[in-house]
Amino acid sequence: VSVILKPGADDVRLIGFYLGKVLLGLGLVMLVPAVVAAALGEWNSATAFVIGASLCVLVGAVSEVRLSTRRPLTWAHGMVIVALAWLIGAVFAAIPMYLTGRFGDPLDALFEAMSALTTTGMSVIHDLDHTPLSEDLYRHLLQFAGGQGIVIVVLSLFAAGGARIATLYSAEARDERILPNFIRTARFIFAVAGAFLLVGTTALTIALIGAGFTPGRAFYHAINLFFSSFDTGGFSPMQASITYYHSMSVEIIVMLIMMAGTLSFGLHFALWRGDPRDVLRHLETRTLAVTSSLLFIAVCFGLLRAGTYDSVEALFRKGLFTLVSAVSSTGHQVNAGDTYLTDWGVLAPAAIVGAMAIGGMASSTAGGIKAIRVGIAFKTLVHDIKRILLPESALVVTTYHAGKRRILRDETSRAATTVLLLFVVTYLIGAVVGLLYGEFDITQTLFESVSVGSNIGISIGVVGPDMPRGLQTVYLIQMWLGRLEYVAVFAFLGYLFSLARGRAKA
Amino acid sequence: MAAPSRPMGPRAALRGIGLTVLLGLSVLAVGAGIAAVLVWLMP
Repeated sequence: VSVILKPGADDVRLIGFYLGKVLLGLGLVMLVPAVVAAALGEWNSATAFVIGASLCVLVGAVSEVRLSTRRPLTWAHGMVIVALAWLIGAVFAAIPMYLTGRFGDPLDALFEAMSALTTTGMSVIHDLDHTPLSEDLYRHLLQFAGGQGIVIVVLSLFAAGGARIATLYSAEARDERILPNFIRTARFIFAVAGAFLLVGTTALTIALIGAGFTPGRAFYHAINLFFSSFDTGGFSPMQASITYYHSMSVEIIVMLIMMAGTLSFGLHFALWRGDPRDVLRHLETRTLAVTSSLLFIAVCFGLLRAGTYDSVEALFRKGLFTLVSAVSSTGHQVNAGDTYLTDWGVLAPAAIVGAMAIGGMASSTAGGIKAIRVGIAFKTLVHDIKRILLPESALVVTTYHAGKRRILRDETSRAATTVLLLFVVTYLIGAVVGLLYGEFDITQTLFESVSVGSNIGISIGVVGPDMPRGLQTVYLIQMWLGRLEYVAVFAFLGYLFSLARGRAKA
Repeated sequence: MAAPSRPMGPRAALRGIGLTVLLGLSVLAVGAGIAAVLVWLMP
């Protein structure tokens, strides 16, 4: 019989020490908009960012001095640190947001911060179109930091040695070891983001100048759009999202960036190495190709039957864009939210819900169940059917390609289907809670619940500054669970249980 | 599958981004193709 041991003061100290480092990193992130605000004379915003950064640095510095430890991290520590870092990080990230006065109450600011960090992209900000530039940059920067994995970003800068942070990397739902060393893996992730930042921002700036923007304004919109598209976040500098730009070139570039964002870092590595075959035969690529093609056929069929659009261009610019935005878990929109309800019929929004539920690739910045789990669940089903149909003495071996040819093992199947089931249950819980308020129907609540639970951000209109507080809290938890893919959060809850009920160490 | 000596160099980056864009454009082309066929089938 295994005995649950009660964590000691040393364990709590270790967790606090690493959380402090994460807050130090968050403080540094806040300094960027603080400098921009000061340069642009946005003094209200600058003050908010300086206060927020000071609090982060103060708490971080105190933990650095008082909690410093050289104890190694265990898996349990890693999970707890990551689960807490995303909660505490959101609370601290919300402080400057609330201080700017753009949010109705602290819960709205916390919701916006969690939505930013988890790259969901749902927004409850007041009057987005007149938000100071530095505040808007901050929202997009948070998506960039969150998408890259804020804990790994911070600790690869501050912590010495890769082995100690390996556990944190996995806990943040980024479990693909691309390179043998975690620091090198983190560096590769930065290199990919940096290279795409350069190319993507340049392409978007040119397209926006072509759409009639002045060069300075084009660059500002381009860099924000890059952050929110590559990190599949979905915030936009304007309330109308991508519709605002009325430019097919911008839409195509944004679609390409969203697709790059949803490609796993392992597959980016294969492409950088010049091996596209690795990408084409990967189970995840094939799953996405099949599911997305079927879903796009359903979207087109639904839109044509409903009479919403009748041209190839409209299906491409509205239907395909929305599907790419959903699959990549970005959440950029080319429609007003209520259009899905009023003009899109039934089949097309249902297909978008399916795309949002599946989401993108594992170990990318995308959210959702992830294509690899859907692929493995399908392979498991085929494997089980084969086992039933073939003679009992037959040895059934199912393989799949993921970096290399792998044999489908029971524990892989179990892990994939468990997380898949947890996502589905969470989607349903969110939808049912939405129904309790009596203001929305099941189409709206299911659409919105899947969108927040998968960290997508396409809104059908439930989320807004005046939404019910209870539902907002449920959505906030769904964003947190979805980003960490449950495991770290459950490990954290188990840790809390062991704090209360565990047996003291001998 | 041996990794190249400089998987993060500028040449690798150019190759990586080029192939990603190519992959993305082919996805968009397939999407446009599906849309064209369905518009043709359901005028």
